[in-house]
Amino acid sequence: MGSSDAESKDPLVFGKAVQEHFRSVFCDEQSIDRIPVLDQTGSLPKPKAGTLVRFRCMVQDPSYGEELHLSVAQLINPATGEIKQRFSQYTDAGQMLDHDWEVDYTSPDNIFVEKEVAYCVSIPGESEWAQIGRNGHLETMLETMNISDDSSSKPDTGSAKKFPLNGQNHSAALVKFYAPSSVPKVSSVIDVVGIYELGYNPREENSEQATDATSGAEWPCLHSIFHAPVSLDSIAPGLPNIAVGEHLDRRSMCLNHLTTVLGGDDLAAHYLLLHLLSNTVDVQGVKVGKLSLNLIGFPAAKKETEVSGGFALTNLASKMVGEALAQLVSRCVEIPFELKLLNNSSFLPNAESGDLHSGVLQLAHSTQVVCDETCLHEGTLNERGVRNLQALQTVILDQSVTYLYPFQPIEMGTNLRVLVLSIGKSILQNDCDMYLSEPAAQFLAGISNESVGGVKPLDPMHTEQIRQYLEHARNLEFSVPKDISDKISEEYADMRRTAHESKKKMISQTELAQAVTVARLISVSKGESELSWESWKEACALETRRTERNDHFTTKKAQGSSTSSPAS
Amino acid sequence: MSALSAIRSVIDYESEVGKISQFIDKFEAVASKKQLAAEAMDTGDDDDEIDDADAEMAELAPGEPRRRYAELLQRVADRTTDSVAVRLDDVREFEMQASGGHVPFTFATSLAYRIEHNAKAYVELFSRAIDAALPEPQQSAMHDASADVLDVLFQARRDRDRRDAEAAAAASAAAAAPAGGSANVEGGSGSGSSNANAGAVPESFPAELTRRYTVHFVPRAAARVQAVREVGARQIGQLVTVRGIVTRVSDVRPSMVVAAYLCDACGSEVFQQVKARQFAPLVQCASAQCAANGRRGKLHRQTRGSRFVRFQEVRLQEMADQVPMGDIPRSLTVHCYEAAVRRLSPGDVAHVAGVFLPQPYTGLRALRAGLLADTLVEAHHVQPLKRRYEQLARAASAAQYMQLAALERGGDAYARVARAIAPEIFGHDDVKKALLLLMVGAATRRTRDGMAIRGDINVCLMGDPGVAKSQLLRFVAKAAPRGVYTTGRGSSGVGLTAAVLRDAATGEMVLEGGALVLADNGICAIDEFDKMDEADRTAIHEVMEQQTISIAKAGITTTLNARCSVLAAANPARSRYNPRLTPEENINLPAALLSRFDVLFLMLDRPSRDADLQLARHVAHVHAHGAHPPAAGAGAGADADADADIDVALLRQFVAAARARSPALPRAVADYVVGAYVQLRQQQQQHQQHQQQQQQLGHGAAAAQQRAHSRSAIAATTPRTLLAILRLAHAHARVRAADAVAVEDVDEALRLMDAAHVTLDAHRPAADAERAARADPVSAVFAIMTRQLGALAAPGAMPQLAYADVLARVRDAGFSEADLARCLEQYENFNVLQVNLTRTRITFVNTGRE
Repeated sequence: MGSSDAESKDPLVFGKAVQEHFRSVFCDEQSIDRIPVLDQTGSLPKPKAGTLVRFRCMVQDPSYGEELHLSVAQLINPATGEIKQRFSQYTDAGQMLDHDWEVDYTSPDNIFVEKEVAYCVSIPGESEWAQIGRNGHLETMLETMNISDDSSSKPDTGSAKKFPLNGQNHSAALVKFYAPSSVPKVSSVIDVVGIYELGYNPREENSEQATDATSGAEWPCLHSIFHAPVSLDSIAPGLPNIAVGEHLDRRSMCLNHLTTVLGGDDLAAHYLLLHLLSNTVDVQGVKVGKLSLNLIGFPAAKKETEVSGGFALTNLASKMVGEALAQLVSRCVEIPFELKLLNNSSFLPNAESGDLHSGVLQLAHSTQVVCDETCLHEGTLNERGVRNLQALQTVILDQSVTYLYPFQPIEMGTNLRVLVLSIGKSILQNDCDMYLSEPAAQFLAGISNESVGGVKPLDPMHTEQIRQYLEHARNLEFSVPKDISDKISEEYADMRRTAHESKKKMISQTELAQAVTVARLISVSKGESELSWESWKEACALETRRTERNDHFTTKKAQGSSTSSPAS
Repeated sequence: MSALSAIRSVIDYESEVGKISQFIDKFEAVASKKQLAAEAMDTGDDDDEIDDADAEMAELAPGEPRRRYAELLQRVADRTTDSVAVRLDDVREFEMQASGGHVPFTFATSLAYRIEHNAKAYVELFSRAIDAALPEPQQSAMHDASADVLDVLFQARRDRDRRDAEAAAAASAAAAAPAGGSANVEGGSGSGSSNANAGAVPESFPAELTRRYTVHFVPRAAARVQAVREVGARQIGQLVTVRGIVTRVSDVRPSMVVAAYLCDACGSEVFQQVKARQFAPLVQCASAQCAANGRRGKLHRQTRGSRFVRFQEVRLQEMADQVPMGDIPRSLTVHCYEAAVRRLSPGDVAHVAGVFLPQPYTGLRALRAGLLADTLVEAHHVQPLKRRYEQLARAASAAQYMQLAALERGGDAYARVARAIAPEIFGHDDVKKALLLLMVGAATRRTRDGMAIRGDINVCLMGDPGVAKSQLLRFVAKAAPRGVYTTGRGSSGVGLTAAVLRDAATGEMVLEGGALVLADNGICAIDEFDKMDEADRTAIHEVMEQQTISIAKAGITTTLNARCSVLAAANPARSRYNPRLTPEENINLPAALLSRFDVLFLMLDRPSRDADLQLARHVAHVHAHGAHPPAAGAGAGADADADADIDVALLRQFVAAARARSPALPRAVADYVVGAYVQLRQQQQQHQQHQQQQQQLGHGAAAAQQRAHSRSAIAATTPRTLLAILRLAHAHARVRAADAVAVEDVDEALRLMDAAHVTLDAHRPAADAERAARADPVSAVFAIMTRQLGALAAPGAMPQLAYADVLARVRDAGFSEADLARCLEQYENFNVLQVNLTRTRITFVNTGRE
């Protein structure tokens, strides 16, 4: 950017002024929409260096290093001995140095400014509808569709090791933050507006030594002018707020849709809705409000030849469910449990090599994770596979992802909704197991025979409304009133006593916690911000129905164990 | 920016050199008393700063003031040391003395300040001053064994120069050029270079070549210790002190300081000073002779004549406690030279003081990002910290310090802190107490013949599913420094033990520590212990008693330290504890392994209306408010609020403080322990006999019932039990902040070891007298008192107990003061004991022992 003989300019003051100015220019949606987007698929034209772009991204590695930048550089002309100063910001390149001039590194008049560099990647599993720049640039998209994109899409694809979903198309950029300590936290999701440039990646040093051919690779850099966390409004802008009474309508709309998706199983649809609404809150180390779901009764994937090796579901039934969910949530990641994938990819972010390599589970806040266990076949799970599954299990139970730093693994809280689709009970322990009813199972099995035409797609208006409803309800403030909690306590103690007297299985602390969670989510789904006694009763009823159905299936399976053996 | 402008202000470097010379010459290490007082005032980190400088000080300090640096230089000249550590505290003190009170001393204008802010430049200035001040060696180094290659070379050079000079004089031809000799290309500071051995060294040797020492600065004790992320552009060129964990250490390599070349045409030596990491080697001889002859002599680099320093690159990473919530650690490159080399190894926590420097990109990178620079710290003073707990104790904030003090004054710290363990889990007070003792541990003892007796306490939790064992484990692993949580099932060989792997980067074989090795000096929490591989369990055997791991893989046999406490959780054999089976049958772990656990808890799931209500409220509360309800312990309502503010950080501080203590074991207590042990053994023997009789009688069902409650399997009293009692007692004494282990510590240890069986027996209808006593608080309290009395063992006079002592132990045992009051009242009525009016003393009328 600006280069002038500015002796008195304090880089920080300058940065602030620039930020103010740009914020005031791009204060509303329309003007921001006009900024070109750094895009992951390569279908949009690539921005030119030195232009303003925006990038919706996840911070993969915020500790990418602090760079010292010669904000005021003393230049010297060795031939003539002349000296002059140069001020620069929002750029790294020394390209505007005139031919005869050199930077005098020994001069005491140099002013170094630090900028913090974060490696950012496009949001893993971002649903197509939630991506920015989708609406405004339809024409440009269509235009570029025809151009063979193998040349244009390649350079922006970041290092495979630094994107959670190995092998998926994504874009990456080094985002440089100028204000001191303004780097967002790891795995947070931000919108950055900044100046695009091709620059140098300090961590690529090793590869540079290895092959001189690739050393020329330039990295997209984004000199951040301002950034903001991605909010609910920025995902679905332009919709009116949900009115108070509207929650119930939207809820039934959503339930209907989910019931159709699950082949008419309304109990399962109920739980799926609650699952979609779950939102983990950290209460002094205890994770509250999570509800991972295991839907049991999916048809087996047909053959081992269907192995994709990537992160896309191949089983038609689970694929259909996955796609339906992707329509409703802004971020959805699919993990097929193929041995190859489990054994070869790493689920946990790993920094033991000095650079933070991403893992499958380094996902943005509130990402929907759909695990397809139907494609798990017999074979050996190697050590890495075991560890990967354990990591996923930790996410389910603890909502925490361990970043493997040497000597001090760092546990980081996360907020992921894990849905496991399986034939029999999953190998993972989930908060909630749910057998699908027989008609639903048949319906899903039917899908795999014919083409996916079983579910009629929702009309766009309704889809929008359901999306908004889910986002909104999920983020409701919530509390449990004292009298309700007392009543629940009484009931629990009584239940345990009667169970013990009649020699039945006693309800445990975990089961109680789960019932409270279910009740909480039911209240939330109705737009209530307090737990009501009706919701508690409803929760108990749902739980009873679920256990009954599960018991029914397990006993049936025990009786007719000869028919089919589950993969576990 | 201010720092930079300070540097910009004009400083007369020559006068600085003068000042430095004065300092070196005149500074007198003041009598040790004052020095110590000053250090104590700084509350700095000097306690474990056992570096060279301090060692020297210890050597020099006693008695009258000594000219420390002058003496140091003598040693440099004598070649007994090769590093000059300049303590900035000394510089500061010297200036304060020098100012003599006329001018008020301000740090910001002092030499010490300038050194701190421009350290790199002052290294050179100090070197110059030292070069000038270097004394003659007291013993001739030239001819004794310490003469090295460089000496020999120098001798040869000198001889040759002299010969050349003579030859030149004799020929007296071409006088224009100074004969052959050496040419210094970089034209380094030749001014002060003088070699101690012979004053006649030609000026042309660069100073770096002849210096046999390196100067480094030791930061002031009061200097702030920073985290990696706090070091920034403001501090370029300054001496910074950074704390972190060492993650990677390179091999020690030679780094060239002065390159020597030999011209193949004229034979002259050419020197090149190397100041950057890379340099362009000289190719063509530029000596006068070659120039005169018009030849282009080729230069050959000579390894022997060049000067190298030891160099090591270290990667320093922030520690977890320095990382803000939800962020990930940053790291920093540290370059170590000479004296700082080999001080650090991976995994060390260290304070590194050094100069923060930018390193402009070179080569291709410079073209692409010309205005950017990498950063690094050039180490001056490296100090690995001994133990993590100690260093954590230091980090206690003032508020925490107050809280700790309040806790200790409160008296029942033991119970309250124990309750702070996994507060989301309701009840299980005894288990939590045992976990607290596990975290605190006992000191490792070393016998005279060098055998170490482990001080780490191992605990096994065995119990029904759903009693939150895993949560307890996870909490402990999280709260303890170097805590590692693994599950027995999920971890294959590498997970729990250590593996030999090939390093991907270098292709070398490296040892990679597994969980247990990583938990060295910490806690290893192993969930699902019963599902562990047989092979791993064998490794656990070794870890739990010898505290080492032996590895024999790929031809490498080695033993790694694994000095950790093992906290294991296991499910009963058939997933639920079956009271109809014997404990042996319920616990499916081999006895050899079980005996290695100091405490074994059985956590059974039984309904109890009160507890259930509490628990349910607790769950609902967590959901409702996002906070834990104040834990209302029985009879401790007043303390309930205070407990709420013992958070994990405070718990850590408490444990750290406790670990720092090492209470002694008095003879009388040792005897008491032995007595208790013998009693346990006898009980066991009787029990076994009893059992055999019963079996002989063939009581069928009754015998089986009896067997179910036998203690033989779970509490087999072995010599290990004796050690376990001692360890637990020791840990308890540490928690009590006591100077010595007391009888009450031993009692608590015994009580905890017994607690497991209490849970087991609680549901038994026909409990024997001892067990019944436990259920009845009055008898239990009385039992405690009699045991305490037994320890007194004062024959003759009427035995007395201090009320406060009794109360403390009664509380530890989980009873309230009300229980004690009731007990005293009852027994006073029986005329067994008397309490004095002020209620400070309990006197026993007749020693009523069981």
